[in-house]
Amino acid sequence: MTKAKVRPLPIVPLCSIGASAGGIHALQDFFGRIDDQLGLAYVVIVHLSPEHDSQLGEIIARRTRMPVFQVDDDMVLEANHVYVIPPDRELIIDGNAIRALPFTEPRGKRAPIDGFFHSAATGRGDGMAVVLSGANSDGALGVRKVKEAGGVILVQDPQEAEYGMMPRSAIATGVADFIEPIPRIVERVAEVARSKKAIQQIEEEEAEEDLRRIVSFLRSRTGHDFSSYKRATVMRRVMRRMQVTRVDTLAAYHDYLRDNPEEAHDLFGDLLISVTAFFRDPAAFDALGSEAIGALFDSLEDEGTLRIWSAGCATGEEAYSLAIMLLEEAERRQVSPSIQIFATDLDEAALATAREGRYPKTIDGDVTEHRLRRFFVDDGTHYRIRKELRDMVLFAHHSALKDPPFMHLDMVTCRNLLIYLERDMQRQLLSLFHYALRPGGFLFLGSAESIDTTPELFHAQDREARVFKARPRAVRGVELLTQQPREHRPTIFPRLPAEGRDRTGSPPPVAHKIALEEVAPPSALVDEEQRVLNLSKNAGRYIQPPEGPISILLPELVRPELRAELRRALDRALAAREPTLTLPVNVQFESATRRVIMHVAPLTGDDRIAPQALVLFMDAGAVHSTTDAEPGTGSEGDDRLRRIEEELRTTQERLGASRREHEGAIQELRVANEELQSINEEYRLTAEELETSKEELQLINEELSTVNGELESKLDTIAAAHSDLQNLINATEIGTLFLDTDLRIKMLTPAVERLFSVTDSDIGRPISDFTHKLNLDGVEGDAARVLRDHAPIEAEVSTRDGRWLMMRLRPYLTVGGKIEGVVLSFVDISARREIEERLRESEARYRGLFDAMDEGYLLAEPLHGLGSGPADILIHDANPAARRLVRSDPVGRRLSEIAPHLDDPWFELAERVLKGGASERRELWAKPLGRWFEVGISRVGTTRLAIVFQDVTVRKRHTDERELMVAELNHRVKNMLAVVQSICRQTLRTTPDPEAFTEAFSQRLAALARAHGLLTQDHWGGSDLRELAMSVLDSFAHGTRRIRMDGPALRVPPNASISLAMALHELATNATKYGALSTPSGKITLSWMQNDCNLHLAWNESGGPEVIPPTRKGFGGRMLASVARELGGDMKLDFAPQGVTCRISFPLERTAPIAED
Amino acid sequence: MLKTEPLRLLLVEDEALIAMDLEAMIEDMGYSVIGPAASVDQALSILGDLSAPPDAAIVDANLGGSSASPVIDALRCANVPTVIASGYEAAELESMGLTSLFLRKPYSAETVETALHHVLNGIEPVPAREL
Repeated sequence: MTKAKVRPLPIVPLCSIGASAGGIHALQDFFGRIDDQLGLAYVVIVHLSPEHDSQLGEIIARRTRMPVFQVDDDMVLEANHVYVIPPDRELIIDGNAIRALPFTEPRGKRAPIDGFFHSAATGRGDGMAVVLSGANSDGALGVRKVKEAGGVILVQDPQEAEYGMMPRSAIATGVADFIEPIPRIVERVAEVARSKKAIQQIEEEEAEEDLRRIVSFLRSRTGHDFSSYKRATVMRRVMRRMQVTRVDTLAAYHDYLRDNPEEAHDLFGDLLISVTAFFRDPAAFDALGSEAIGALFDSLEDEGTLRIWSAGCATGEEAYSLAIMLLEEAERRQVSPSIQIFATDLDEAALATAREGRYPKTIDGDVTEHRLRRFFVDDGTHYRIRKELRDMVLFAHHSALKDPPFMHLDMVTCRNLLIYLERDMQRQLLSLFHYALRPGGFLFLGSAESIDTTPELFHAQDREARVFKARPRAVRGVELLTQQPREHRPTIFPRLPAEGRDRTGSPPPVAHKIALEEVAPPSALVDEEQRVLNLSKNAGRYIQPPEGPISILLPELVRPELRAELRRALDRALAAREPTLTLPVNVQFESATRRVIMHVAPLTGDDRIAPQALVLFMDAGAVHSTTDAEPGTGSEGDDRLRRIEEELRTTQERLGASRREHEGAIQELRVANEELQSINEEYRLTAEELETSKEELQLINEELSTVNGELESKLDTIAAAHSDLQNLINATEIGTLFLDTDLRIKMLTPAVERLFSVTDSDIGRPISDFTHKLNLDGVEGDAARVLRDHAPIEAEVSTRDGRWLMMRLRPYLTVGGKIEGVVLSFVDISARREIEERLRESEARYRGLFDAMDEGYLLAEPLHGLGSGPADILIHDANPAARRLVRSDPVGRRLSEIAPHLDDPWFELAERVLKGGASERRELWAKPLGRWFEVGISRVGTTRLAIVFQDVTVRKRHTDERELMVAELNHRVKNMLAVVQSICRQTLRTTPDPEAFTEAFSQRLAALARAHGLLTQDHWGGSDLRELAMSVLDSFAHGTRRIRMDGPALRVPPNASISLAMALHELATNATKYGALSTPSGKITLSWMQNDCNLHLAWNESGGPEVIPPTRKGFGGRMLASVARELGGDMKLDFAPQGVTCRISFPLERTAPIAED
Repeated sequence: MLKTEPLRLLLVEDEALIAMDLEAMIEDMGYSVIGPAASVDQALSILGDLSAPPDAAIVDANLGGSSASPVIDALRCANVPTVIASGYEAAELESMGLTSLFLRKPYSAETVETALHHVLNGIEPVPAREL
């Protein structure tokens, strides 16, 4: 299934309507009048605000019975329906499908009418485009596209439109088919629609034949053969013309074409519309390069100027092509002349394209890659002309036919413009170019054009390439373009200061022609076949067509009397090319018979144009039946002769005067002509300047719109920043007050309103006008100081309602660093203050404890050396007790500085706690300090240790002493038990009788106990000898003074004390039993003295019974000996009859006597 | 009764009453007593004066507040079997560096005799043996 077989729904004929300012009224008028059964689909494009809903559909619906829709995303066109554009969308059409899409262009550059026309032209190929009132130029580019695609362009008459700008822009493109007020446009639309309907029904075969006839007619009329053109193109253009001329069939159009000479021109113009390209006809451009451009540079005086005029430049490709060639030549020659190319055209839309210098990528077929690189910038989708090239070309709206020419040109290019023009017009235009060119300047024409009409002005440099050279100028001047349409005629003539002349009349040549037309005899123009081409105004008097079919052959049309004579004369004139005057012929008119003479003049042009002949009918007066015209008598004859001579003389005089007057007039004309030329020159310069200014203004305008766009976006940014700021202010609840340099309120936030009793309405008033709730005077003074010193102020202030605020005053700095006021900010810090207060109390409490406690406290950080354990410990903090204990301030110092060579266990303990995390408590010996410390270590964080320690040296000593004492006591008790055991055994040995044993043993134990008691009393530090002796001997003396003691106070060691006590006990027991104490009169003296290092102790008994020495050595004697041995001394016991004496000497260091405390 | 020389024992004891008792106890056992010495100096002096070393010795570990080690060392050098008598505990003696047969105070005649029997028959205590 191919696409060709599945024909889509027939295309609904489209009428696109573009309108803008003032367009609503025009649309109401349009739809109020339009027939609702034309079978068209109407699409209305207007400029709508993107922000608002459009009421356009409803407005139109009130005026027409046709359904009106606002286009959704996608719709299908139906006949006799109206579709309107929705806001903020552009419409795209393809076949019958119409879609609304978001704009692709930014808002300032949107042209929805152009866009839709363009879419209709490419997506459908034809249709009507109507441009109504509007104040911009949207639609101008679009109508050109529609026209190219075969559409019909209707434009509201700018005179009628509320805003004429948009219609005028459309008209300026030159493609408008109808320029009419709305009622006429409505009629035209209906006519075009109907003819379009008819055209659509044309049979293919019939069309083929008729088209061939039309093309062949066109060839005969214009000399240009379009048979080689694409049939479809020609068909489309012809059908367009048919719509415009409102004929229904090709045959009818053929007739219309034949009968209306101007239609051939219009069709020809349509067929040639808009065809230009870079280096169009490359061979010709190559020839131009070699023949003309080289020569131009040759003749160029160094750094001179080259002036080129590209007339009919269309979209600028030709002008840029020239510029490229000139630049290349300049670079080749390494010169830099000033090159100015004037490129002119009537088509504003084409000129806009040319000025933009932006061409589709497809130009790479015409432009070499090297040139593309050198002279164009690739902007992705298009090639853009580089500025260097762009600056060389000045584009201007200018008509070569109408406007003053550019002057002193080196070259004129005018390609494919002459072919639109009649020969006469061609001739005038060429002479204008010649006038504009410097002698020897070049003219470059299109491939179908020549200078044949003015061979005296140009000669061919390269005929094939159509390069011509201006001949040296014979006369300075240019033929006036008298054949121009009225509006093209120069309008400066009436301004000439021509005294005595009719200022309101037409210029003399024109007036002359008009006058000629008035007085000239009736005439007729015939072609070679003697067919009438034209008749003059009053030629009808001589025409009397014969019966039968109408003929256009002049000899058959004239009055019967003239026919034979005229045929002969025409034959002669056309064949021999000689003017012929016929003999007078009597012709019977209604009223009278007149003699008529015919003058037949052949018109010769060049060979290409068929010969023509002009027939003049001259009335030679009435034919009188009588001869009353014959002269009468002689005297009458003389009189008449004299009168005639007189008349002749006066006539000659008048003629002389007229001739002089004529010469004077010619002189004036020459002057006027000179003035005209200089004015022309001025106009030309002004036009150039204006054009340049216009371009500059356009550039500035573009820049301004760019700047405007940027400003708008900046404004958006600022608005966003402002709302951000507002939200920030509301969110932070920081009271902020902005003051200007006069301390007036610039801005404030809600949080500050209560504090200063201000509101937004107080902005602009001085801050000193307001009372505030701060317990602080001179806020204004502070603000003034900040302004003066530029230094911020910060303070905590309380308010009268018991809150605390952090007040900050800072200079208000602009982005540029300028100080433009003061910013006051207030942050509520009541909660913070309270917490701080509590924290301070808690801190003080714990600080007191910390400072007062006996334990030393250190916060320390183990420092790691190369090994695994800490190399040292850094002290971060210490309490007074710690300082006291280490006898220095350890903060910031290392342990090794405070106590060098500390034992390893200290570091091991620290490391263990740090790694394990479990707190430990140890007693450690600090060798460097000579002290014992109890140390508790716990981990703080992961790297620090808290060390609590106290000096336990004293406690340690006490503990050691106690242990020693317990051991000593144990030892001593056992020793004592051994002593008791020994006493027991000795006593038993000497006193076997139990009662006596008990007595003796008890007494010995008692003595031992007493000695012990004495020693214990003195803490086993030894005993005073006298006290020791008294404690033993008192029980024996029974309170009497029988035992006398004599000796200094001295101290006896503990062991010696026990032994001495036992020894004295034995001596006293013996004395009681056998000695001095056995009788009441007996006495004992115990004396001692210290001599050198020895103590000498003497026991002397007296007054007792006579002493009988014992038979064997008793317990007492042995014990005394043993005691002496123990003391390392001597003992001598003497049993003298008068009394026992005993002397004991033993070494005793002289010691201080025991203090009597 | 065999006419043999009685074994000679050196006694070193600072406590006069104990020394007296020990002397009597040893003599009762039939030994001959040298001393008793009450101090290190006396003991060393007696040892120095002897023509032949004693057959055995009983030494109090603490002599008037001084250690008896010089005496014990001298006896060991002369290979004299020695019994140490003391009120100290065995561990305390060891810490003083005294290792020998140990006789705890107060002692009875039987313990003294057993101790003497041990040392005289070469039954060496290891290291400090308490009886």
